[in-house]
Parts: sequence; C-alpha cells; structure tokens
Amino acid sequence: MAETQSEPLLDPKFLTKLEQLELVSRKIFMGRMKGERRSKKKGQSVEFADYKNYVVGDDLRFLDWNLYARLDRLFIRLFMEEEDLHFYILIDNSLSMDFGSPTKLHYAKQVAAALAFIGLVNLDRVVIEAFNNRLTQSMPAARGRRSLWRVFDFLGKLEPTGSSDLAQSLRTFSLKSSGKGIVVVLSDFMDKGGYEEALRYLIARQMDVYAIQILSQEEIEPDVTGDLRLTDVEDDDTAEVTVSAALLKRYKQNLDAYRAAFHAFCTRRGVSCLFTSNQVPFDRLVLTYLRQRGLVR
Amino acid sequence: MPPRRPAPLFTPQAVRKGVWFPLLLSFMLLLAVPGMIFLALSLLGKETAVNGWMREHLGLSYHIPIPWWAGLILLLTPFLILLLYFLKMKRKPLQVPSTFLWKKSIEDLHVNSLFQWMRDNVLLLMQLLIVLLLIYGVMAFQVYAGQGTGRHYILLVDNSASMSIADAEDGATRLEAAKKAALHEIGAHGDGDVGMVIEFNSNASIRQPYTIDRDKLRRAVENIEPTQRATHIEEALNLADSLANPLRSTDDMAVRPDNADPTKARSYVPTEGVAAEVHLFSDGRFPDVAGFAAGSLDINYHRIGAADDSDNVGIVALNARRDDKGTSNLQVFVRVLNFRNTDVQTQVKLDEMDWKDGELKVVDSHIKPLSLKALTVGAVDADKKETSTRTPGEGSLTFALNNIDDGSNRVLHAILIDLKDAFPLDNDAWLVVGVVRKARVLIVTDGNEILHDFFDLDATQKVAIVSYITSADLKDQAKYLRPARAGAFDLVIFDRCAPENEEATPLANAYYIDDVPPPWKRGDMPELKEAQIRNSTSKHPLMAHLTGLDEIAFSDAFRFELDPDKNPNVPARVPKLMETERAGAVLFALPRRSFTDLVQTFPLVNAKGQWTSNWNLKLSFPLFLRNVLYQLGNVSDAAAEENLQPGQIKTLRPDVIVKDGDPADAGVKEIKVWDAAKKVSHTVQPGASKDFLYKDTEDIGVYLATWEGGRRGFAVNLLDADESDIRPRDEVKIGDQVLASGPTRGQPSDLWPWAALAALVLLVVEWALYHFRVFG
Repeated sequence: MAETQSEPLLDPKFLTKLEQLELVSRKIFMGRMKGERRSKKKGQSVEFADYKNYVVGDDLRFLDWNLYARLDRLFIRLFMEEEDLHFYILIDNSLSMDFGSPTKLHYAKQVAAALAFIGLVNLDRVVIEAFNNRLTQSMPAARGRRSLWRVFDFLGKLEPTGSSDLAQSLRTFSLKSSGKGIVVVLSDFMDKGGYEEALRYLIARQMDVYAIQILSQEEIEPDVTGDLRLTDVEDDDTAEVTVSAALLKRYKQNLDAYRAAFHAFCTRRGVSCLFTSNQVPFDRLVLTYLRQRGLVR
Repeated sequence: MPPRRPAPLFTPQAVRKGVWFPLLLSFMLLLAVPGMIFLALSLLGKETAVNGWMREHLGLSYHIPIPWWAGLILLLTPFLILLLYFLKMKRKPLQVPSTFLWKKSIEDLHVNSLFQWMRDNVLLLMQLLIVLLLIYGVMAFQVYAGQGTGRHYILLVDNSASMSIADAEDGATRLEAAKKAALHEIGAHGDGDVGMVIEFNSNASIRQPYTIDRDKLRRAVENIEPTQRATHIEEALNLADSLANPLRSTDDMAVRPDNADPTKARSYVPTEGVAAEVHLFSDGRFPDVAGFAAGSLDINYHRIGAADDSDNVGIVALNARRDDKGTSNLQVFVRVLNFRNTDVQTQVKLDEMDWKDGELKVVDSHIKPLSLKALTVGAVDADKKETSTRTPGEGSLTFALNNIDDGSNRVLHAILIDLKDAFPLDNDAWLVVGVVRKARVLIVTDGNEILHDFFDLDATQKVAIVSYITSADLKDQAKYLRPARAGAFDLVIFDRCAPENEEATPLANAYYIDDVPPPWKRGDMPELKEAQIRNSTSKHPLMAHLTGLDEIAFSDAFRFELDPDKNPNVPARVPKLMETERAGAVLFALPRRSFTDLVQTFPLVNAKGQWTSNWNLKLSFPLFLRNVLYQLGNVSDAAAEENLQPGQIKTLRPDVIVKDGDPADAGVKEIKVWDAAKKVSHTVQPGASKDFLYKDTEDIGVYLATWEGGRRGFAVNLLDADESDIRPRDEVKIGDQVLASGPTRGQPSDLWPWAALAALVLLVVEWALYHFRVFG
C-alpha cells in the first residue's frame, strides 16, 4: 500500500496562495522572540498601550515629557509588544499512516508543509514533531521564509515506522515543549489505547489544539469480500472476518460512532477537530476547511 | 461515545437467524451417512446381500459403477469441504491500518449471533448439496415397483465346447465375447424392460428368469461357465418359447366360467402371449432347427467368433468292432475331419491303456500317418438363397488290436499328434472296450419254439442270461413275484400271458406277445382279423435296420385302442411301431415309469404250437428280437461302451446278482464313479428303476465306476462333427427363418460420469471465482 511520494509536497502556485494566509490563534500567548503578533507582554511596538507611573529604573526614553509639563508628574508610556507565535505541528508517522493512495502520511505531510509555510512567512516559530509511540523526530524551531526548505527537507525524510501510542507521545511532547501556542495534530487517531488521554495533555497545557483526523478511503468504505485474516500492521494483531453485508454495515456504524465520539470529545473541550479523507484534495482542505475552522485566515 | 447496549443472546430473531444454517448443515451431514455406509458395505463385498435385503424390504437397490477409490473420494468430498471451511484454510491474509474497528464489529455480531462460528454460508450449503446429489446420483439407486412395463427380451448364450475357442478380440474366448455382447444387450435395454438369461449347450437351463433387475441379469450372464458339451439349440428355443409368455398360466380367459364366484376369484390372464426379443449369442455351430415356429419371438442372431476361423482338425468318430470270429481281436476305427483350407499331414497315435491302482497306464501304442484333404466349399446358387456347402477333408484309419478280452475294460486313447489347432478338445478321444454287461431275460411261456430258437443261440447266450418259466409260475413268489419286484431282470417276455395285476408287473422292461399289461385284459380286446402291415417306423431304436415289414402277415390279432380319449389309461403319444391299414397298431411301446412295455397284438404261435404269422420267416424277425434284447435288455455293446458326450447322463446298470434265498436283496446298493482326470469320486444311489444315473460327465475323458464285485469304465468324448467345425456361421436356420448375424448392439455410453465431472468442475470453478473475486 505504501507508495513512494516523490513529487514535491507543495507546488509553487499553491505556495503563492498560501502567502496570503496567516495562522490565527484564538488565544493570545506569550512569545519568545519579537515578532509580528501581539503579545501579552507590553513591548516596543509603535502601538500605544497605556501609561504607568515612573519608578526608578524605568527607561527614561519612554518618559512622556508632555504630560510631565502639564501635570508635573512622571509617566512612562507603554506600547503593545509584538512577539512571534509558537506553532507546533505533530505528525503521526506510525505504520498505520502508510495506507491509502495517497498515503495518509503523505497527506499529513502536505498539510503540515502548507501550515508550516503559512507560519514561516508570518514569522511564527514553527516546530514540527513526528511521533508514533514516542516522539521520533523533531525539527528545531524555524522562523522565516528562509527556513522553508528545512521544513520540506524534514518532512521529506519522514518515513512510516513503528506502532502508535498517542497518549505516550503527546505526554512527552507536553512535558518537553515549554511554549504555548497552536498545536495541530495530524493522525488517524485509531489508537487502541484511545485518544482521550492524549488530547487531555495538550488541553492541560492550555494550547490552542487542532486535531485533524486523516483516514484513507479504504478505511471509510472498505472494499473487501470473502474470508479474510486481517492483520494489524502495527501490532500484528489479527482478526478473522468473513465479510458480509451485515459486517460491513456494522463496521460503518462503528466508524461513524467513533467519529461522532471523537468530535463530541473535542468540541466539549475546546479542541477544534476536523475529519478528512485522503481523497479530499489537501489544498481544498487548507484553503477551505481550515479557513472555515478558523485556523488560517 | 454512546454507551453500547449489548444485544440479548437468545432473541427469537437471533435464534431464527443463527440456527437454520447449522441445522441444514447437520441435516446434510446426516444425509451423507447412509452413502458412507452403503459404500463401506460395497467395499466389503456385501453389496449383493444389502441389495437383496433392500429389494425385499424397501424395493430399492444400488450399484456403484465407479472404481472404489473414486467413490471414496466422492464420499469424502463433503467432509473435505467442511474441513476447509472450519480450518479456514481459505482465509486470505490482508493488512489493515488497524483491526480496531473490525474487532469491535465482530464483537457486535458475536453478540447478535448465537453461532457466529457458523456463519450463514449459503455457498457452503449449496456445494454440500451438489456433492450429496452427486454421491446419491452415482450410487444409481433403482426402485422396484411393479412388473415392468417395457419389452421382454431373452438372451440365449451358447457355452458349448466350441465357445471355448480363443479367437475373439484381444485373445478372449468366444464365450467371453458372447458374454460381453450379452452384457451390452442388457445395457442397451431400458429400465422397464424385462429380461431373461438362458444358457445352452447340449441342454438348456435358465440362468435368470424374467426380471427387470438388470444387475441380476448381468450377474447371471457373468456366471456362465464354459463347458465341453455339444450344441443343441432346440431345448433353449423351446424354453424361450414357453417362457416368452411369463404371464400365461394354465388357466386362461378361455376357461373362465361365466358365473364365477367372486369369493373364489382367481387372476385370469390373457391367452395372447407376450412378444419377446430373443438374442442368440453363438458361433452358430449347431444343427439347423426344423419345425420350430418362432411365433411372437423375434429372434436375433449375433455371430460370435472370427468370421474366417476354421483352423481345426478333429477326431469325429472312434469306435471298435470285434472280429467276426469272436476272437479277442479288435478293429478300432478312427475318423478325422480337416476343416482347414489347406491339406494336412498328421499322425494318429492310439494308446492302449489299462487300469492300475485306479490310474490309467499305457500298455501299448500304435502310430499311423494320416493325410487329409483341405476343406472344399461348394458353389452357391444365389437365386435359391442357399448357403454354401462345406465339405471338410476326411480321413479314417483302422487299427487292428490283438488279445483284448471281453471283460478286459481296456481303454483306448486316440490322439492327433504333431498338430496344433484352435480347438484342441477334439484332438483326442477315448474308448472303453470289452463286453460289459449281460442282460437277464425271463421268458414266461407255455411253449414257443420260435423264442427258443432265438434265445438259445450261442450268440444270444453271450449277451444274455435267459431263464424260462411257465405262465402258471407267475403267482409263484420264489420263481417270479419276488425277483420281479426286486428288479432282478432286465427284460421279461410274456408270451400269451400277463401278470395278474399291476403289483405283479416286474421292475423291468416287458415284451407282451398277444397279451396286454395290466390293468387291461386281453379278453376285453376286440379281434382284428387278417390284417396287413401298412405302416411302420424305422426311427424307433427297436425298429432299427428292419426292412420288408409290410410282407408280414398274421391270422389272429386283437385291436388295442391307443387314443387316450377313448382309452383313459393310455398315455399320450404312444410310439406306434407297426400299424395295419385300419390304423390299428399291432406293435407299440407303452411307457411305464422308466420302463417300456412292448406290446405285440398278434401271437407267434397258437396253443397248439402252430405258427400264426409269417414274421419268423422274415429276416426282420431275428433282427427285431436282437433289438428287443439289446434295447430292452440293457445289453452293453460287445465291442465298446456307447459314446457319451459331455453333459449327457450315463446310465449304469451293474450286473444283477440274485442271491440265493432272498432275491429281494438282489442288486447293487451304490456305485462310486471316479473322474479319471480330476481324481474325484462321486457316490451314486440307484433310482426307482434300479438304474444308476451319473450326471457329472462334464469333462472329456475316462470315468471308472466301481461297485461291490465289479467295475466298469466309460468314456466321455466330444466326437461331434458340428462342434468340430469351428467356423462361425453367418446364418442359422431356425424353423423357416434364415437368420443372418446382426450387429452386436453397441453399449450405450453412460453420459452421467461427464455430467458428474462437470458438476465437480463447476464446484472448483465456483470456488476459484469466489476467491479470485476476493483476491481481485
């Protein structure tokens, strides 16, 4: 099922479209470096924020001499601080992502590349992490358009491997990452251990979480017949099934129930979730669905 | 996630949905069990017994026409299919991103289905059903209902000596070819046809009476064994004729009373016979049958054997004659026929053999060369539709042997040496020589010179022990009644007298002169005056070699009514040996059990001793008395035992010994007969007529009969020119019909194995398609 995806993740035409977009965070986080986003901190931008009484030690350059002339009191002018945004992209590269045409992993890479591009051009601090049952690879934080090729290079080298353990991986991530910001999790969320615990780690860090569930068409509409011995690609678990209309019907019911449960869990906890199939063109996903969800604008 | 509500295990729907499949599956497996039992019984050779029982109780039979291993495979197929199903050997592995949802789905279905392990696999059921139908189809069950409504056919299979010749296809014997053709004929008939199997040689016997069971017919044909007998088809044809109408009884519609009592109703059958096809499988080597009307029989002749096979030279006669001077010299004649198309030079070897310790040892040998001309075929007149006459090359030899005494029991063996032909049975012949038996003759007369003149001759004394009593002695226990009732005589001549009643008649042949056997009385008979002989027969053995009988004249005679309608005690068809112009028989042979009462209605002399007939002046008279003595006195031939063909019954009459004091104990109690070739013996008990009948004369060769105080050998030979002419006849004549050999019916090829094969292939294709679809 695995197919070699040799074509570039994003084509230049699409990139120009993406340049118009920027990431939107529903929360205002503290940045690490000076950036283009309004920070919780007061800083040195051109935008006036407030006054405060002068205390010894304040920067004399920000004294408002006009007020001192009128009121004979020393006030310091405060300006809005603009900082960068922490933008984390978590890609599931377990073996189960190596299914479909295009593979779910390739699809996830494309989405990740597009989002990363948007982040980079907006001088956000973009971090990409790959995980299966742990964090396998991570790309150091990148900013600015110049880092785009580093992102592409990282994504290009990402291979499907290992079994997945969402909870363990996201726990590690939440412990490791200090900054707050937007987290986009790209996975199929088909974890026998469940997704609930995993997402709770991210929610606890008060991050702006986006869960994008990617399933292949084969999982949504299984095209199988006969007596089959199904083997789980990750843990070699087997299930002997004899495909019948009743079983297929039951499978679809279960899938729908699973999606509904996932959606309900996310919305109740302020996590934006999005379900997509690998058959949905990813540019449409980015330009349309993610816009609708408010991740980009 | 909404909480999942577990489905109840035993809802009616779940049970209905889950149970029908295992129920059907179990039912089909149960269906396979009888098939397995039947096959096992068939493999154990119990098919016949099982069929007999089933036919009796269920009106069913079965037959597995395929090899046992094929049957076994077929029977195991449903279990194999089931095994594959349960072992899930056919499951195709498939990798999926996650079995998470699948497992959940299966679990859900598990909850819903009681027998999830037995999913509702209609394909499996269909396949099992097909295989089961195949199994029971192959077992070829037959139902026996009613009498059979099809045609009647009779198979006549020749198993005579000439049918042992191996000139059929693949070196098979003619009999094997005939059996094969008969089996083809059975196969060509329909299920409703009623068939019968008759084998014939010198006799005919029904191997299988009318039946619709073709298995029985086949077995009957297969059990026919070759014999060394000659061929006579008349008896077989008569059997076929009488049995062609299996539904006919002695009572038919004609005797049905007008006012039949319904409480005593009986089944009446139509007088019309049932038409039957007769299939005659033979090489045609039997004499043409004259005087047979086929009637409703449609006779089909199937020639068996290679058309131009005539590679045979055979001995057709071997007999011996004593020198006229009555010395111990013996002349032995051998007649040989050559049926080959080429001249033949051969040698005839004559071995003289004697019994030593129950075995034959060669005493002396004589060899003489013999040249035989080739067989000539006469010209055929196509217009007269005559068949060509075939004249075999003939040669005969005479051997003069010395020092062979009357009672020597010497055995002669004639052999064609340096000769190999297709039919070896007639290449040797046996002859037992020597006087074997004298007749015990009792003459009851009050004085008859003519009889004395004949019976007191030396020549007569050599073959007969003659004693005389008067008519008054007929009531004497010692002189007549006890020995006569004990069978101490072979022939009793009553001259102008008769026993008092039927109890007093002797256990012997009798010759009544001018009197009648009881219960008739001479006094009741009307007189026949001055009659002349107008008609006489020469076919009867008593009348052999007699000529000039019409010159016989006699003065007194009586008339005896031989018409059974007018004289109820007279049996039908009494042989009339001499008849007068007024159609009154004056010499006739009345049968009495196994004896013959020869009645001559005119005396030879009257009470005064005067001649009353001129017969005693004719040459025919002593010849007639000789015939009477030899035939009715059971005299064995002076030179040799009469020839006996295989299968014929040998009548053994050991010399009667009348012990002094108690003549009732006279005679031999039992005889042992040794088959010289097989070295086996049979014990023979006397019949009602004090004769010993030996019937196991199946093989050519010499037999030795021994009894207390005596022994006698007798030979069984083919000696049949018809049988030795081994060339199969293309046409045989039966009655007025000339039957040309018809083609043997082709065996109808069974097409069902192809259908069965197609069904199996269909099964395979079905599986393949099913799985290709899955793999695809």
